[in-house]
Amino acid sequence: MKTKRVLIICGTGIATSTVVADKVRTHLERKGIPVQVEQTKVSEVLRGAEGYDLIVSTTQVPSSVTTPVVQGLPFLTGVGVEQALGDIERALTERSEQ
Amino acid sequence: MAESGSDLHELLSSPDLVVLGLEADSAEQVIAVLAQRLVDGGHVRDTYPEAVMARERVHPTGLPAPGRGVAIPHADPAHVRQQAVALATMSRPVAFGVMGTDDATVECVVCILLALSDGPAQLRALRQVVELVQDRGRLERLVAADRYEDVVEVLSGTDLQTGVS
Repeated sequence: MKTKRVLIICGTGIATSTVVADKVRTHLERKGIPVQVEQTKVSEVLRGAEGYDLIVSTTQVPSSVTTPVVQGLPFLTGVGVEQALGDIERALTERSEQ
Repeated sequence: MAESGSDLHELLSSPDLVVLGLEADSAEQVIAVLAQRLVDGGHVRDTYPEAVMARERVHPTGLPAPGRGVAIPHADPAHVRQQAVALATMSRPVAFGVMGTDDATVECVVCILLALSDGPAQLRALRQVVELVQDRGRLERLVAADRYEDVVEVLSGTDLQTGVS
């Protein structure tokens, strides 16, 4: 399987995306999905996030971004983590079959 | 400037940074009270309160944790002089915007104002905040705390479970 590129996005200020990135990376590695996880602030993707297979975000993503988005909030609250991980996995594996 | 310890309970370095049973009607009021404590303690620049307020309007920080809402307002590290956190428990829940949304709100009983600098230290504190938010038992004890020492005790429990996996 081709290595997937996942972009974790947070608002400005402190890096909530780092906490989310840890959890996403660990889970996907455990599932044997080769993945490259990167982080940025929402202000850096105003013109889109080309080259990424998926975005996981703890803030609102601008409508100019066409990459699929999964909410990162569950990784901070602990509520709905399993579903979020499932959504992430599905988004990445479905795209690889196309 | 020397950094104090970067564990959450160490960042809550003085009783002046804790407000228990705060009576407030809005998120703005909660933020204003806590931000002023950080200014008075010399932890942040005068620009910090307005920066937090402005950021909260655009990127709200309410976390709908299991059972208890927790808000973690913060600002860019540029407004921070020496990192610290200020914490309030509310006498009645206060609505904060839910992180990642522009219209949902969550009733919060705890607010932790983060004044963190860049780098690994902020990450350690942030991980401990997330651990706390996800731990119903510790949140309950935090809400019930009526002394600064109790709050520190609850927060320092984070040391026992810092592993984020």
